[in-house]
Amino acid sequence: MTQRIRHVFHLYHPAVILLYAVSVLGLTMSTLQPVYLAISVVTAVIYGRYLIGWQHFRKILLFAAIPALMIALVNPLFSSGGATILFYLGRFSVTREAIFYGLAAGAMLLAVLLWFACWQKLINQEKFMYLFGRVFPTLALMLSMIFRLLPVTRSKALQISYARKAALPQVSGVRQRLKRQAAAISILMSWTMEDSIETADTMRARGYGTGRRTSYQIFSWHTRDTVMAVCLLLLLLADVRGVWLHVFQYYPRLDGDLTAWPQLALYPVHAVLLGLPLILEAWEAIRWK
Amino acid sequence: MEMMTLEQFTFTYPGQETPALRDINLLIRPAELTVVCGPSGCGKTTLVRSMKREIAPYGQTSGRIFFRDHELLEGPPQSRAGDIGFVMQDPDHQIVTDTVWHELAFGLENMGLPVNMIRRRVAEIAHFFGINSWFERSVLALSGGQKQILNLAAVTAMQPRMIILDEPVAQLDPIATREFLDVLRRIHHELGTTIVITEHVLEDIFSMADQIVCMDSGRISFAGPPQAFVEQAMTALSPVGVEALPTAVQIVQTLAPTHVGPVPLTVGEGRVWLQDYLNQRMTDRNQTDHISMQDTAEQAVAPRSADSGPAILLRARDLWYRYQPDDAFALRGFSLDIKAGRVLAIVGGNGSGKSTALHALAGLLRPQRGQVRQTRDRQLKIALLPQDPRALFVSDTLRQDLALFAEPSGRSQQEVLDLAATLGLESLLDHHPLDLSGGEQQKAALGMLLLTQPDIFLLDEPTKGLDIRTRNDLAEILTAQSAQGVAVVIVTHDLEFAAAHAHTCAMIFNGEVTCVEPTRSFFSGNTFYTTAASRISRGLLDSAITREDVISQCQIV
Amino acid sequence: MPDRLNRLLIWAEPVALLGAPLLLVLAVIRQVEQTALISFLVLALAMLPFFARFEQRRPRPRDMVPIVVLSVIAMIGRTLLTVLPNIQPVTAIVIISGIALGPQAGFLTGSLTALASNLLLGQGPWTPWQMFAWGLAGWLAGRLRQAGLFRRPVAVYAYGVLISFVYGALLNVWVVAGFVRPFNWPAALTVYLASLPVDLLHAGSTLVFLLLFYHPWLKKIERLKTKYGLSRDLL
Repeated sequence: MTQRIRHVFHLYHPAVILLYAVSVLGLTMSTLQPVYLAISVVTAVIYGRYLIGWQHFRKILLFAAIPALMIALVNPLFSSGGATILFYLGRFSVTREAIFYGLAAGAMLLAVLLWFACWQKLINQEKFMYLFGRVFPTLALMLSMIFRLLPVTRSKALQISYARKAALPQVSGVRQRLKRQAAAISILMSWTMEDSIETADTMRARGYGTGRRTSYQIFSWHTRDTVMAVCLLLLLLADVRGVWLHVFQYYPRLDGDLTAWPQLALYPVHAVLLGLPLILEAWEAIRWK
Repeated sequence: MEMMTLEQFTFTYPGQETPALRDINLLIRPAELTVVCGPSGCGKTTLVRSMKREIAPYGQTSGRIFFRDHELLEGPPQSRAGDIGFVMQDPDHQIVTDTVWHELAFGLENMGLPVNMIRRRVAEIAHFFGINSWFERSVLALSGGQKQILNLAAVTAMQPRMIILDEPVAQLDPIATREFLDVLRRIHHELGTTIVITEHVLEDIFSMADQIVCMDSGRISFAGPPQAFVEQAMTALSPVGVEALPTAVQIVQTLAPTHVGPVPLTVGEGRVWLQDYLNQRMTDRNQTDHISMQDTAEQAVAPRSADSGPAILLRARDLWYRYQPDDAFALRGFSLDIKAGRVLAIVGGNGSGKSTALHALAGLLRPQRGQVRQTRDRQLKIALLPQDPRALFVSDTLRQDLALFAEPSGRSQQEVLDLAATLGLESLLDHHPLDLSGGEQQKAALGMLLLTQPDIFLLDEPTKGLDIRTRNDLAEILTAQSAQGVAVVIVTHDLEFAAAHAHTCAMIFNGEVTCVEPTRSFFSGNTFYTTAASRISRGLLDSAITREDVISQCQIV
Repeated sequence: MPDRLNRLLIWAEPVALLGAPLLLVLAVIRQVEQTALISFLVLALAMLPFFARFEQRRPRPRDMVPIVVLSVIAMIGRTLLTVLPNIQPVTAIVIISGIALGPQAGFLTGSLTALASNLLLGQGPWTPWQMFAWGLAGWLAGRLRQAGLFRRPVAVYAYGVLISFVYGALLNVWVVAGFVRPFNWPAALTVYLASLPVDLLHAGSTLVFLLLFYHPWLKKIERLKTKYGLSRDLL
């Protein structure tokens, strides 16, 4: 996993990053207003490309486009809503409103999927475990045990398959092969269970469950985190207000003024909030010039 | 004040008639290192586990255990967990989390220490153990030896008054063993921590001990300083088995049973003693010519190998293999011949490609370059004993598991029973394979594979964690197999085992075979990577590589 | 106080689990604007009582490790047994976990498997849905066993097939509820038909793996419970 460590936004406390990521996803999912959607899709593409790298992001884009397209098609095909009938397709009427709704819903799905791809990079496993662990310490520990056991168990699986392949005669046919593999998995289960009991014992030996646990945090909260959190909250409030004011109806008839004043002034707020990490990055680049 | 006192401690597992521990009286003094030894099943693990409340075995107890001034089973548990550290045998099973730093912090988090205190301790401990360079790493990237050192570090971070270690080096190779014991010695000397350690091979640990506790079927048969233990062992028959003692002790014990004064414990002391002994013998016999003595010795010891005869079964030529396209090659130009009726030991350090080579020989992975060719017309049967025998157990009883391997090769039920009898498993046939002890599991897995009647028997670290008795049983089985014409190939760290039982040894380094020689010349040619007997007698005797060699050569002089 | 909280949480579990899908249906029928967003909140609220109660119980390490191991085996089985895509034993293993270790263990096995594999393979909007759906599969299996409905293995096999389709249906809920408006059956059906081949494979593989694993694993886990003194049921 190549991560842009230089990325300024990664220097902030995971809680700040979480606040950003949740705000972005929440806002993206809460409005179908075309301008907001457009801003969301465009920033997601720019930021995703920056964060993930074009090579990999291209594939994600393609992968996300499929369900988005499906939604864009399904809506106008089957939806009976909408007043402006354009043409008939068999017994289904296709309306102008449904086409637009489909496009908007598809765009929202696309944006959500892309923002989730960014989420994966922003809140990596370590940060997630930290945040999750603050709320659910036991479950976070169990997750951490899962990650620890996975590779160990995988190498056990290889040992099992080698030992059995060498000793037992070849079998053919799906049924027989499946039986063989199932037996191997059964061995793996019992073996791993036995070993993990020992792990449980070491946990007890090292005082697990004897009292209140603290957590060795490797992320500390600085003033810049407070500043950023306040900025994010202010932007979020303004943006929620913007989403609230920009009403846009698809059914029964497209209805909504995209350029009404003073709501117009709130569009940039959305762009600034979503593009905040990119703005920080640009600022950093200028400073170093 | 004593660190720990056991008074008439008796312990019985639920459902058992005979106690696993009987009338144990033991004193563990502060800042001392106590070694608990004895064969498998003598109760040493039960004993040391009973000393740690959190993992004490469940069952009936009588008698008392005092830790410092109060009884072990009383008092708030939190103060106890940190006070006594415990390190177990398998490095892998004790690691709870997925990163080195988190593992170090785990115990401290459990103690509920404030964050800055945890940070400080973790930093200190990382420095003390010299693990700051791999502090940020995932535990996956560590070798077995590093993992065990991490386990020790994680326990030490809790600032225990006493650390208990249950066969901590049984799973490590010789180099990692020495590194681990060096760290342990530092903890003992520099921090003054009380240490209790169980072990069945005493070669490396014996000289570190302040107190030796020897156990035999649930009782303590000896407790006292190492020299006293040796003196006793030299007069009476020691229950550990002579072979568990350091090689130097064994040699002295046989050559000079009337020896008085301190007995040599280490290789260095053994060398000095042997030199004196030989000089003494030579002046006695008026025989000052060193060379002639060597000649006599040469003739007296029958050559262990005659490599012209046996047929080659498998020919590996110039194998190159890597697991992933981006990986480094694990095998780079590996070539080796496998001969019928011979025991071949492949030795080498961790990550030298030993296991990969074994898998390639078994035809389990396809080398990217080079090939393994069978020389017979018929398909040869190859069996592979995995590092952990548990990789083979599917069923709920050993009987079913044996049948599973007997059926495809058409072996009758009687044959299965006969084999079980020769392996000493007949009473265990209806047990669950995973309930057997480590040694029994090893024999059971061996039995399953023998039922397939292999032409070539490949074994991956077969002596790992086995006690002397089981190792000897294993050697017997393998020798019998090779006498019947089976080619036996052992990949091992256990140099003593290879020296005693292999016909040929191959050293593998960095994915290729650096030398293949008859066992005797192999070990006498190596200076560092060789047996203790060879290191003791180097330059004094001619190619003596086992205790028996040294003794027989000396007796001829 | 913790006792009362615990009792409240016990009561909350079935309400939350079964109530969540109902709430979503309601949101769809009432044509709520932000269904896509609301559904996430509903799911989070539905899973909260489970996680909270597990934390609050302060489980012993010996009760935690079987859940961890079954999750790991499920994740490895997902990659190891893949003869065809979507043939995976996760659902079967989660069901076995629920039956052998109790409803709560079943829920946790399911949701932790989903969470962990998504942390490795990449998060998406499907993460909470998978956590919920697999969690439900395990929890319900445990509850039905307690109710004595699984005395005959046939019932377990049937449950496995059924719950696999429920799983598929749940994963599609978000798409249909959030992005099809006004809600209509033909559109919903199209979305479901598109995922039918996947669901069929899923149900088939769950059945096969239950046939292969159900009996032997139940026996193996039972043995471990007696050997190591594990809790009878993680209720």
